Amino acid sequence: MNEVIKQKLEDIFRLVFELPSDAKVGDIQQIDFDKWDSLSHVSLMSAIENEFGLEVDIAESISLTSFESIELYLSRKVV
Amino acid sequence: MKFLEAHAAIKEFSGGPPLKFLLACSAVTDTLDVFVKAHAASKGLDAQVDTLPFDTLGQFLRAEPPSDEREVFVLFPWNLVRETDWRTGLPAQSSSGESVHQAMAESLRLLSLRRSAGFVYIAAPIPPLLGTEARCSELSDQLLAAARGLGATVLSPANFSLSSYFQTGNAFASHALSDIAEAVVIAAIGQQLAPKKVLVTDFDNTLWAGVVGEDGVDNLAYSAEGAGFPFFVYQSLLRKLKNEGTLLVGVSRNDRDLALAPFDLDEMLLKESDFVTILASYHSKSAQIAQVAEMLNLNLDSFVFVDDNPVELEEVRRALPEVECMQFSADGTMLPSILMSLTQRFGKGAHTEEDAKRTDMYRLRAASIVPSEVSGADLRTFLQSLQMKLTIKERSFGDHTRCLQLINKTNQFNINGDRLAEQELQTILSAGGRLIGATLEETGGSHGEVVACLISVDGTIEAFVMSCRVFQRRLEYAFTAWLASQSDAPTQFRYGPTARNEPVRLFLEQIVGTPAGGLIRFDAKNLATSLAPDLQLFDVAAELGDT
Repeated sequence: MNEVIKQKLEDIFRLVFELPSDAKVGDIQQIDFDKWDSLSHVSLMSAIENEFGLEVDIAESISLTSFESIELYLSRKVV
Repeated sequence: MKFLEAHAAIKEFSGGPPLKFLLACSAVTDTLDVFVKAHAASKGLDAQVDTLPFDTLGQFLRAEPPSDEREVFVLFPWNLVRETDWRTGLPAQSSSGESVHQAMAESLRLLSLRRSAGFVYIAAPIPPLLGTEARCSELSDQLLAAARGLGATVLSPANFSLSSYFQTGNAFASHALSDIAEAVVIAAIGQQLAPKKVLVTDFDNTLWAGVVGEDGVDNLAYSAEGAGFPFFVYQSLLRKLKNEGTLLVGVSRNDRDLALAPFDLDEMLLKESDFVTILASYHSKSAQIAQVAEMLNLNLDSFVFVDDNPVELEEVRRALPEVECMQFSADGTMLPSILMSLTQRFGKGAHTEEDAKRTDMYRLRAASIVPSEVSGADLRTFLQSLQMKLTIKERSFGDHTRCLQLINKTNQFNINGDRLAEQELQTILSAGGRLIGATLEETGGSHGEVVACLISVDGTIEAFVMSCRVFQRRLEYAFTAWLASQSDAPTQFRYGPTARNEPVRLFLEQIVGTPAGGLIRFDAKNLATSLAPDLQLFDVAAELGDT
């Protein structure tokens, strides 16, 4: 994946979940991360749509539940 | 402004006077928060915003208004007529026009009681509430007129997301959050109440289709036909605003005679005499605008700057935050809202004889403006957000049509202005020379092949050109840094000053000091180090070898 895009995704995760600027985020999954609830998921999707100029449809959004899955999604969607 | 940039702006903000207000909206506003804070910070203000719980705007309006709190209402059609809310579904039968108008009248009555409020209206589409398409369209128009009657800043339907509104109650389109937040902050400050005075416009691809320095004055389009139509309409609006008292200023990155050449043909709707002044140089647009403001003795917050180039807009935004910046687009879906936004900022209900003469009065004051050499804003963080991808291509073999075209067409960023015939090129390449091209892509799309560099076997850069469409991106510095990092780096530039290549002189002045014509040493080690930060702005790929 383009390193610039990955770095941006990492920064977005840290900002949305209010984590330190050097926090490791690559292993974060919604299932075992308390801060990732339905409200923060909305904020996360909005931030990703805004930053990368995308529109994530509802079906796609439901499956984007980890850093890894979002990274994979962006590698397909972002030129 | 995007999400990460908004957070960066807040982080860099060292504090300022508070901007306290209640953001009154029936939709969820959480995603707007960071952009509101960032836009307020860009104006030196610390936004302190209260909000309403979801879908309580109706109750709020019926309560006693707070006596001393500034309010900003972000309204949708359903805040004027409840039945137009998508989330309530359609009624069992078509609504009667009378009930709809009664509802609208009551909503307007309540809103007009909020005397210290600012309003932003998002003209979202409405469900087919009434019996026919024509009646629904008429209702949309009436809602829009009602919002304008409140003095609302109107934002286009593109700012609304139905899918998001359904899913989460957040009605704002993600890509529009910055624009909506900016409108909210302006409404909170109250600037929307004061009309603007000076419209500063770019020329290439804003006043006319085309780039006069590359396409030539005879290949521009600005007439009421074909590709020129949007520009003809834009010029007609500027002429109207000028006749009603708006001062027009032209700013162009060009040699002055090139910038004025289209006016000399006397075929355009706008004439040079319609402008208070036209500034054309290779210095930053922010510096030129600041000079105009000083010379005309007008505050920068009365200026609006219009340009098609997001890099130029960002430079002015950063250097002169008081100036409102607006991106021009000839796209048919965007042009109407751009022209309406300009009318909102400059339009007057009535104008006087003095308004019509205002330009002539100010032309005298502006006559002595000399282009400023003050440097512009640091654009690095913005340029990083463009995600620029530079692809270096070996053109010594195979198709080099575009490279040769660039060398023979480019005037401004051209190291010596020398033209090259195919045979001459083949002679240099056969002797061991190299021809290198480079393409540029960024988030807005691809610019295609924009750089050509011909190096002879002894390491002399015989030709180095760059399209003026990609100025301001530090691309010439990055490409030079890439050349310097190669094992077979060039050894010297062949520089020749021409009547048109001032951008090259400025570039060489920055990297090697004041250049004299002739051979200039290419210090690869030094350049690789000093220009490394510019190379880091780009994701670089090299497609070298036989093509």
